[in-house]
Amino acid sequence: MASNPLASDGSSDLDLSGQVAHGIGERVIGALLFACGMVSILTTVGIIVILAEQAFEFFRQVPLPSFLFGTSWTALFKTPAYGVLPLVAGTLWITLIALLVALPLGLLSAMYLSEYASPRARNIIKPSLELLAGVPTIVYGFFAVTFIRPEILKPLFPKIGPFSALAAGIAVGIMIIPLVASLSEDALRSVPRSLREGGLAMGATRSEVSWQVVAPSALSGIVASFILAASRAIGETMIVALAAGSKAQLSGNPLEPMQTMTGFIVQVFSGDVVAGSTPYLSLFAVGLLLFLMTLGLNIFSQWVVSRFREVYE
Amino acid sequence: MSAQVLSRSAESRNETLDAGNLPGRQRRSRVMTGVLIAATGIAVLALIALLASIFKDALPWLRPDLLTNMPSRKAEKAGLYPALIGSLWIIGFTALFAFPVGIGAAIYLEEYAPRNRLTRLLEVNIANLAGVPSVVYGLLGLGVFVTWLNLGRSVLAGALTMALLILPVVIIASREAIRAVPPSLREAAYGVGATKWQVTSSHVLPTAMPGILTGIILATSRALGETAPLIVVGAAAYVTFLPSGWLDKYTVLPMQIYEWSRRPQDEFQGLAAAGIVVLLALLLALNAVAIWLRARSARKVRW
Amino acid sequence: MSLTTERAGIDQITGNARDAIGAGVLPEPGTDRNVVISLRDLNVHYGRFHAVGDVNLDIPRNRITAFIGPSGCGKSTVLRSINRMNDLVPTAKVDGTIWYHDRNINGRDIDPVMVRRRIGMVFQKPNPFPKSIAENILWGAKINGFTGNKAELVESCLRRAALWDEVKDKLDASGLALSGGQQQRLCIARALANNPDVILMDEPASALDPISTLKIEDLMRELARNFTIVIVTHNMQQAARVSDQTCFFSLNEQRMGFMVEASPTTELFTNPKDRRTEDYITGRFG
Repeated sequence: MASNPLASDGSSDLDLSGQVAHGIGERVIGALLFACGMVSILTTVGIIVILAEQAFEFFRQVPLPSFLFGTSWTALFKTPAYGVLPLVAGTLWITLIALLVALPLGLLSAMYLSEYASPRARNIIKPSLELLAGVPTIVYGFFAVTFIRPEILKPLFPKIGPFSALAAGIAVGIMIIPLVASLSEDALRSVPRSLREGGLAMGATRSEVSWQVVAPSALSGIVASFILAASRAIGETMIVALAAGSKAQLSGNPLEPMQTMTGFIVQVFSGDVVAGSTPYLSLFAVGLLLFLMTLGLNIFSQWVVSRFREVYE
Repeated sequence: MSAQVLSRSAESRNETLDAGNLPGRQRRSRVMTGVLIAATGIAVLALIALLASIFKDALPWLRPDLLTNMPSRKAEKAGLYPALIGSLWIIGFTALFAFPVGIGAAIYLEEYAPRNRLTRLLEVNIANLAGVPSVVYGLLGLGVFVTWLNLGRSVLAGALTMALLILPVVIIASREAIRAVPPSLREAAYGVGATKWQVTSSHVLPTAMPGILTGIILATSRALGETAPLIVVGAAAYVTFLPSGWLDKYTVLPMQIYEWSRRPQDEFQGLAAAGIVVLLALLLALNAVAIWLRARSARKVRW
Repeated sequence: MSLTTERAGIDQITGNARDAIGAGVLPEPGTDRNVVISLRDLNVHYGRFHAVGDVNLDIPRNRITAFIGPSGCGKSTVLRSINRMNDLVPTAKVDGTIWYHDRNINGRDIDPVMVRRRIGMVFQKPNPFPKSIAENILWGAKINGFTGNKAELVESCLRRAALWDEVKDKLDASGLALSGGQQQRLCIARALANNPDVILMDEPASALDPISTLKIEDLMRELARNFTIVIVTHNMQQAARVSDQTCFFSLNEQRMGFMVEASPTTELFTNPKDRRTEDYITGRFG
């Protein structure tokens, strides 16, 4: 026993400060990891600085009010006008159409998956929807041009042209169905079982429990998923670049081509643009507006979740 | 008084199993079930229609030399070899930049960060970055990498832009994997006198690694399919050479698809569809690797 | 098994430590070689919640000290303060002094990592690393600069943890492949590999079956010949069976935990000084 390397000597004269052994190495690693975290802060700062700096240049050439309230956008024409409203209107039209497609389908699918589907059906449908979410947006754009417009919309609206807000909006809507379905389903499933059992025990039918007990309890998560879906639709680029056309116009007819903010940015870079010219600078003004709109919606959705979340134990 | 109320309700209480309004409610419930199934069916149908229509368009154009030919003005000779190689260059460098930084940030937030306002700000910031439209990242890359650092329309500028774009996704996925490591494992390591980094590097990271890898492979697949930011930072539309260094010009698969699908001729529409099939196959392969990793790790470690 | 005959260990404690246990006044920390750990005015807060108040206690060398009391009384919190595991809880704040011999290890100049090398810990649920049995033992020694014979270390730790005979043929098997009781003994062996002075055990048998529990208890008695052991248990019989000194914790109306009394185990269970202790042990012993 005495030769055992483990014999306790009970000594206390050990250096307990440990500074020599570990201090420096540990601190260097901690600092490196902190730096990794700060990259994301720098990214945000970078986005804001780049957009604001160039947009500021732009607003020295085009006054802010005529940018925000002007009704004509002809940035790449001989006689340019920089009123952003047509781009905003195009963006909102496409977002609205997309939400009309995605919110009902997404929420109903979520309700089915969470409350009705057998485990087997769930195991097939959920990965399929996730697959849909992983498809690159350019593929949806191609789908809008080669299938949605000619095969579905053309028979219904014979006058529809090659580019339209409607075709683009529907494609954007299909693209965001998985987002709505997945986030809403998470919210629905986090409602505790006991609430459902409470409802069923009172003699409620399954759909009554689903819509009058479960859905209201998950409302904050569902609403947040709707807001995020809107934000995603506003920022979507490739679908509208392919399917919505490049005619910036204030129009009340979704069968007509429209240009969105993102669509304009891509259109400019698909051609040649001189760095520093007014059209080039206008990109950043449009980008800044786009960034602020989506940021506002994202913060709003986080606020909805934190403000209205029901906490179950 | 109350006795009276009680007795009256006892009299009127219905002790047979009378259906009352139930049949109507049950009917409504059944209709609702049908509506839900139909909605889910439409969503799944959309996926099937998407894949089917693209395969139909692509079928005549899926030939082996599609993968090995340069782009050409003649549709029957055109291929996407430079785009394929360019895509591999871009996602390779994107991964190289995004993974260490993303995992490092995730470790910092899960294991090191004190609970203070800066940490809270970091978390909110990452969540918001994940929601910034990809085309805005393009403008960031244009301002910082292409113009300010003077990298021009190079592979490096494109990959750095993409790295910033997928960074939030990498961080969020890695954090989830790290959080899934049971606290008892950390306690055990701390209990034998390990330093924070010893605990993290020897126990937390190896245990979380399959989950982290799964997450970052999915993030990479996002980079593979992105087009908009690369249009902004200058992926070229018509490239007939391969990049040989990270300062070279390049194009990528989605860019080539975009370019083809904008041409009016039907042949190029078919080529675009064929390009999409190649892109989807690559994505599917990446996803299969992620699923395989997840399954393998689930088998290996039991808690 | 009667309480009085079962453990007469307290009689073997000599000198000041004998007087210290259960005495109203505790000696100056660091003056008595037979006291390994001294807690003075220990207070623990979790955020604004005052979890434990004013604990004063001496823990004698090569003895087993048991913490008992109702759940939420802070006994685990006190235990985890002793090797600074509470540093890992972001909101926890530990005030007062914790003397390890003549050093206050609750000071800012003390690296908690060094403290944990001298004061090992065994947890409530067995938590072996997802590595082989041998690696489980070697990892702690390796990071602490062990350069001796590895095979010898593994064998001696496993022997001391009374696990050697069961695992000697499968040292490369995963630690997670063992039974619950074996896993817990592996965790004890792992703690021994650092050659600690003190071993803290946080309800080490609560997740185990009765037979494994008995094995762990036998092991504790054996280890007490060379190590100072502090154990938290919710099981009064267990405290009576294994410990030399027992500390009873309770909690007040604000749910703050505090120590009611610390006495030699036989005394505490047969002749408690405090009425509250008596209520508690008789309530359970009927």
